[in-house]
Amino acid sequence: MLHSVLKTLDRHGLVEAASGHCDIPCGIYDPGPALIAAVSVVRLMDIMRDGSSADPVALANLHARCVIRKEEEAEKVKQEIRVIWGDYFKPALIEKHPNVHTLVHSIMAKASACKQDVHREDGLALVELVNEFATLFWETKGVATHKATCPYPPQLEVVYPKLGG
Amino acid sequence: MGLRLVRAVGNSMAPRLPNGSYALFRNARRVSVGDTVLADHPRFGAIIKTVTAVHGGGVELAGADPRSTAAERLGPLPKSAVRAKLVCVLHRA
Repeated sequence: MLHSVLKTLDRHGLVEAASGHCDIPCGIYDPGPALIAAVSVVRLMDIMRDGSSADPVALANLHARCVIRKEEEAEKVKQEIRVIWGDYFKPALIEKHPNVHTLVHSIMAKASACKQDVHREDGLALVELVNEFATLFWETKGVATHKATCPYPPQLEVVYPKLGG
Repeated sequence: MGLRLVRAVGNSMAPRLPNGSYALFRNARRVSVGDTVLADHPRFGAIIKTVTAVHGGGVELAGADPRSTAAERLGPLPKSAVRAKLVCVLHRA
């Protein structure tokens, strides 16, 4: 009865709607995009090192494109990790996994190093740190993980969740 | 009296106020930690949240559900952004 009255009032515009705002998409968090971005950083470094062309202008163009994309992919790593850390990791989870802050900070610093230079070892370290974060994330979900070589260049070892088993 | 009927949109305040619930709010100037309030957020518009801290001229708010927007993203709000305080839940969806 009361519900019917409220719905009627609502239909007549007498009820204000207020959002208990949730992030969109609600509850959907996955470190996968961060890992792909981290692997992309290494790939772009490799292309920059291996790329050759008799045409210096074409080579400059290739390098310029790679630098831009490397910036974007490294920034994407930071963004994706920040969102999971800030929005998914609640105090109870942080209490269980107190190292998450140090790990996230290390990822931020290493992604910045990858932007600043083209040291492959920085790229590899970034992938390893994001792997560590992915392992931790899936652990909080009770999902087992395994490492496998990604089936595309630069064919690095990446953490995948074991789903559907 | 300054009473207003409000429908909750989203599940941030579940299980107390799940999506589609109706609640009665009354205009309030003073709020305390633990109060469920209706506030105007510069980015998210009208929101229902719980007061987690009151300091100086500002308040900090948080949702009840783990999926709720992180308190860090909501940021502190001026007290003037809080319009009303929850009186009672009229219908829980």
